[in-house]
Amino acid sequence: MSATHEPIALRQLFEQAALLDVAGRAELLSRVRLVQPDIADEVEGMLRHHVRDDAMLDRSPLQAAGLSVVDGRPTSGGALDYEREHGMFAEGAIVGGYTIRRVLGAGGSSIVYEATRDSDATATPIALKLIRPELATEAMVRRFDEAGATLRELRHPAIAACVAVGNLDLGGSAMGWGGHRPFVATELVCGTTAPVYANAVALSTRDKLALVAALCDAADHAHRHGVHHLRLSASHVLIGQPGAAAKIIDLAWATLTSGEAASATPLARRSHASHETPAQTDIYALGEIMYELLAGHRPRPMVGAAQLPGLSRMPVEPIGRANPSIAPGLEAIVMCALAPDPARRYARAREMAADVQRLLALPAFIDPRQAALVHRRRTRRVAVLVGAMVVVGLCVRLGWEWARSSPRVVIAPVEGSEAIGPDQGSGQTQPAK
Amino acid sequence: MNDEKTRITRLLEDASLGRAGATDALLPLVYDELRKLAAGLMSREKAGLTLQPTALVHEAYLRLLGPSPMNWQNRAHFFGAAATAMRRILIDRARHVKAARVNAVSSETDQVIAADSTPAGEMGGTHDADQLIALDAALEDLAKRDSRQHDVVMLRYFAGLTIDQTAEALSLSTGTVKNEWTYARAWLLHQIERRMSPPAPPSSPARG
Repeated sequence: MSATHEPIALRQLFEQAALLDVAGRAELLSRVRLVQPDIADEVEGMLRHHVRDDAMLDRSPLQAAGLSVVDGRPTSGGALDYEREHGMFAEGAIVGGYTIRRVLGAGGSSIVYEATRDSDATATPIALKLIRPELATEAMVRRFDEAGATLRELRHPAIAACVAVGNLDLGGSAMGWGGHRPFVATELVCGTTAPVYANAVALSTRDKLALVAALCDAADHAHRHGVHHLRLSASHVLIGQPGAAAKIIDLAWATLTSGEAASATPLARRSHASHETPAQTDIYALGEIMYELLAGHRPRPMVGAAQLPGLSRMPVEPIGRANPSIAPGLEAIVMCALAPDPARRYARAREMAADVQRLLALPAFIDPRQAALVHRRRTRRVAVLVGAMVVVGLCVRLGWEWARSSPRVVIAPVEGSEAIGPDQGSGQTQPAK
Repeated sequence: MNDEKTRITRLLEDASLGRAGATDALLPLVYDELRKLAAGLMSREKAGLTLQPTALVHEAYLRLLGPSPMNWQNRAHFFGAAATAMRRILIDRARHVKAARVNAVSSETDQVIAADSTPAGEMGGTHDADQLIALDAALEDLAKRDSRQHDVVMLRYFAGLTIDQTAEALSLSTGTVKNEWTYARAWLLHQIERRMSPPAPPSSPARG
C-alpha cells in the first residue's frame, strides 16, 4: 500500500511544505498535484498530522493499550510546588509534557506561557494557555475535553491555529479540579496589535480594509463552525512581522470559557437583553477594530445621544466626524457594524466582508493619496483622449475634404463634366461651418 | 537472580559486539519481565497511574540488572530489546481488548454494526486498540522503507526515550533523530488514518 511512489520525492516535498505557512503549502501542493497527484495527496494527509501534537504517537502507548488511565504526559518534580508558591510555573518546568520557556502574560483567569511540546530546544514554540487552578471546574474540564476536535478543525490564515485543546492531567496532588488543568495550545504569534502596527507602518486605507476583510472572513469561518469569540478586540488581532497576515488570537480559549466567565459580566447580560446574536457581538467588535484602524482611536459615544430603550449599545460618534476624509460608502460599513440596534447591524460576518471587498474592488475609493494619484492618472487619460479625439477629428475632416475633392477628379470623366481643382472644391465645402 | 543478571549482562555485551544470536536470546528475558510489570498495571487499571513506557522499561532494567552502572552501549541494546518487547506486549493487549469488545458486541446481535460506526470518543479503549494495531502494521511497512526511521520510532514510542537518548542509543545526531522522527511520525499517523478509515464504496472513483 505504501511504496506506490518514490519515497525520496515524498520526503522532499513534505520537508519543503512543512517549512511553509498554510497559504504557501496550499500553493505548493496545488502545483505538485498537477503532475504528481498521489504524492500531493499523501503529503497533504501527512501535514494534517504534522501540525497537531496530540496524536496517538504523542501519548503513552501504555495508555493506548488500556494500561494507564490518565494522560501519561510527564510533569517535572517540584513544578507543582513552585506553582503553589508563585502562582505560575517556573521556566524550564515540564508540565503535562510541555516545557515552559517563559511567561508571556498573566491575567485574572489564565496564564499564557511560551512552551515547547518536547524537551528538545529546537522544537517549535507554541503559546500554552492554562486556566488558573482555582478556577477549573468540572464543567469546564468536560467542555475542554469535548470541544477539542472542533477547535482543531478551525483552519484559517487569519486565525492563530489551535494545536491542542484539552486538560493536562497533573495528578491528584495538583491544585484544580481533580488535578485537571484546562489548556489551549496555539500557534505562537509574537507581534503588535493591528492598530499599533497600522500606525507604525502608516498602512494605506486599502491595506487596512484588506486586513478588515480578512478578519471578517476569519470570523465568518469560525461562526460557521459554531465558534464565537465574544471578547474580540483590537488586542486580539496580532501581526507578527511587517507584511505578515494578521491573526485573531484566543479564539479557542474565548469560546470555551465564555460560557462561565463572560455570562457573568454585565456586557454579556446586556447582550442577551438586546437580542444580539453571538455572531453580532463579534461583528460589533470587528466594527470597533475597523473604526480604530481608520480613525486612529476607538469609537466614542456620541455626544448628547441617549441610550435607546431595550438596547445595550450606545450610539457612537460617526466615523466621518472623526476622520472627514472617510468616504460615505466606507462610513456606512463601519456604522452598520456598530449599529446599536442588532436589527440594523450586519447579521453575518460574511456580509460585512463582502461589503468591504466590494469597496476594495472600486478604483481609488477613498484613500486620499490613492485618490490624488488616480485623479492625476484620470486627468492624464482625459488629456490623451481629448488629444486623440482632436487628431481623429482632424483626420476625419481631412479625409472628408479629400473625399469631397478627389471623387471629382476621378468621377469627372465618367460624368463628362469639367474637372474642378481641389482648391476650388474645398472652398465650396467650407460654408457649412 | 544473580545468574540471570550475569547472563543478561553477557548477552548485552555480546549484542554490542555484534555476536550473532545475542539480541534474539535477550528479547525473551526482557519480554517476560516487562509482561509481568504490565500485568501488574492491568490489575491496578483504575488506580489512576500516570506512566510512560520509559518508567516500565527502567523498572524492568532495574529488576533484571540492578542499580549497577553499565555502559551506554549495553543500555542502548537493552532499550532496543525492551522497545520490541513492549511493542509485542501492547499489541497483544490491544488485540485482546478488541476481541473482548467484539465478543461482547456479538452477543448483542443488533449492535454489531453499530459498534463499528460509533464515534471514537465513545469507543473507549477499542479505538485506541485499533490505532495500536494499525500502527503495528504501518511500522512493518516503515521498516521496509526506512529501517532508521523505524528504529527511531521504536525507541521514542515504545521505550519512551527522548530525542537525545534516542540519538545516543542509535549513534546519530539529535538533529537527524528529530528530522527522522518528525517525518516518520507524520507518515505513520497518515497510514494509521488510512487503515482505520472505512473503505470507499465501490462506485466512487479510486484515489491514490
